[in-house]
Amino acid sequence: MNALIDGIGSLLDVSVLLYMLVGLLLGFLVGAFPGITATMAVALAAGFTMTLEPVQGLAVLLTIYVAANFGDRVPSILVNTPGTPASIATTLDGYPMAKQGRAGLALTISAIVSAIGILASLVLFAVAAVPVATFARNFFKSPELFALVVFGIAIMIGISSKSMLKGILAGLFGLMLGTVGTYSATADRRYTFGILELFEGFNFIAVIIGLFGIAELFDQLLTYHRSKVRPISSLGRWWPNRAELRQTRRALAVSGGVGLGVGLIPAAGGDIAGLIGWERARKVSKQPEQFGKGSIEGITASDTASSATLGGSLTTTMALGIPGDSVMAVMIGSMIIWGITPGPSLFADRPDLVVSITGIMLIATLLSLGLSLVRMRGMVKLLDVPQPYLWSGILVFCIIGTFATSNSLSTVVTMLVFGVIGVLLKRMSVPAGPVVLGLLLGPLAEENLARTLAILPTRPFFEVVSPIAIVLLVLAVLSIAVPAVRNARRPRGKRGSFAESILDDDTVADIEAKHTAIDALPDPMTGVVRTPDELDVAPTARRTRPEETDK
Amino acid sequence: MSTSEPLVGGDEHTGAAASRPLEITFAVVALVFTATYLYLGTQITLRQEAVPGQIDARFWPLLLGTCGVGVSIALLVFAILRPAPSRDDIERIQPGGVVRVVATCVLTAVYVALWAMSSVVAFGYRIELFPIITALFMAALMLVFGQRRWLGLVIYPIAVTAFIYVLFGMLLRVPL
Repeated sequence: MNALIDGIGSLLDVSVLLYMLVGLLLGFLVGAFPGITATMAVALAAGFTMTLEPVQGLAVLLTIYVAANFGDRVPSILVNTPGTPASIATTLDGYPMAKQGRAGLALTISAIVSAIGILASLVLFAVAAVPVATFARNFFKSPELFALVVFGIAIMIGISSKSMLKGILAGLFGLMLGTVGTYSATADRRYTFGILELFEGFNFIAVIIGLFGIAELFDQLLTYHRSKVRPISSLGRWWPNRAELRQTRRALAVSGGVGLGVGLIPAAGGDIAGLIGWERARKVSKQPEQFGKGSIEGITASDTASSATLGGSLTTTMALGIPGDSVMAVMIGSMIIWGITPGPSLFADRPDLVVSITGIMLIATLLSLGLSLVRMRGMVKLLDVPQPYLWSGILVFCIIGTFATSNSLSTVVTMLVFGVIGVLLKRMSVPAGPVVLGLLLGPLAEENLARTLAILPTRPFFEVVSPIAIVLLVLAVLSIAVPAVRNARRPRGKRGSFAESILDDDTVADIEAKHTAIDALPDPMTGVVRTPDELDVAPTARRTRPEETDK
Repeated sequence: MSTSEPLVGGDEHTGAAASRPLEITFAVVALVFTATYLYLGTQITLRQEAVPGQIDARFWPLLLGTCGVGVSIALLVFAILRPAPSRDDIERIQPGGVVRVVATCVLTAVYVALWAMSSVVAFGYRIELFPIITALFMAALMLVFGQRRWLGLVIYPIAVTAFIYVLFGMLLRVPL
């Protein structure tokens, strides 16, 4: 009861609400601008929130996390470009709906089901976080904790990598970075080269801002080309009628379950859940042929599933200390700086945090839903902001944010170096997630391995290494081996990361055919609504109205 | 943006080309890095030897370095023996892209170097450099990124600089 009162009490501070409003605005903006991911925004904000109280800082970061989940649907629906990876599946039916003159309806349904998904996942977090943490605290000793870290890094490699060798190399690179500095057990200095700034290891915030912020910025500078695609400005009707709301039920239930489950898997985020949820909902739908042509069920499935991962992600992060997704990896870094170490003992030491986090997420979801429903029209204009304003703003804020973490320019140099390393890795298809996870969890892995090896000679092997540790290590091996084998069995040109291989080739071809027909249609005029079936005659329409298509 | 940049539609394929030399170069760089890491791991000075059965400060780096060298060699072998993997999922570098990145890096390096000076004394006054160089840095970036309008070159840099200075310098008291 005290934890409940303490948790709620910490939120009854007007400053927390103000910080949430800042996070709300930032989250919506980063979500709405394609190319700026929630990870990048949270990494950037981490630099600014270091001086805040933990609850205030969490209010900013968690609200960005939630709000970006709403804002990123806008470009997916209006421009056919995901605002963040989590809204990739939204484009499958959201954009066709917009082309049919039903963009307003798509935006509203997306916002409502996203809110439902997050709220359902919060229930999961509130119910599961403490038992999971208690179980881990009671049964996870050094061997299990080492195995858990290995599993966390391995599954991140398995999910995010196109080439498993490159993914493993990324994980090893992160672990190697984690060895730089003073070894805590013996105070020996490793890889410091006598440089004072390296004695405490790399500044984690500088590394993540470099890898996720600067590297992404540099990649955009490298690959930017002006696009002739304009946002669809005719939004049409906003509110769904009862029949349309009824259509969402089945997809909501199926994809919600998918999202909750995927969220609990470390490293698996909204992008994967959205695609799996869309595919599952299509399988159980009475009108699967409408998926990809502007189906209300389709957009419901993708957005419910991707949003429902948030609570599960938070659970594994806070209760086990293993980041649920890349945003959570960044958040762990910030929390450690605040003196809060996510892991099995967190909720035993600070049970009020469960309440505070749930409260922040709940308020952030409701605020985001409200903002989504009233400000979507204004968000369309944001998509027209020229990129140079974004690029220069991001770079300056990355620099200042990094500097603010240590008041030292050497940190800024670290960030820039990792920005360059990050863009080179990105160009070589080496994922940044395992690098960050390796850096973050490497010292924990080493510490627990050392303890395990110290105990092993004194007691029988199976008394030290429990079945839990063995299962986790086997799962770690499988999470790399299974995707590697599956990829090896596919034709060379069709190999990809886990997210790229969720939809089978036939489904992808079907979607491409439908979207090609949709692209041939002119943008909708105000008040014009097409039905999905009109898309079946799109090629004919294209031939007869070439002058409109040219527009 | 400048008019020389390519104008493409959203559906135009712009994936990067597969390249075996690039894959081999990457594998060689990875091998050099991990081998260097492994060698330096053997050179770590120990303040005290580990008790038998326990690990010292060298153990973990040597383990990681050995694994890294093994993975790098495997990458190199695959890069040499197998066709280069598809890079369709990576966007192609556009004309002017490398120049933009290099110019941004150079400008940022100059900005950080000037910022390190903190302040200068001129005409008998101590002038704080941060607001001036930040506004100039942003204007230069906007110029490199193709902006030619006064809003982008003057108003925006000054507005952002003022915001940063007030928020961080005055409210959060970050020693800029």
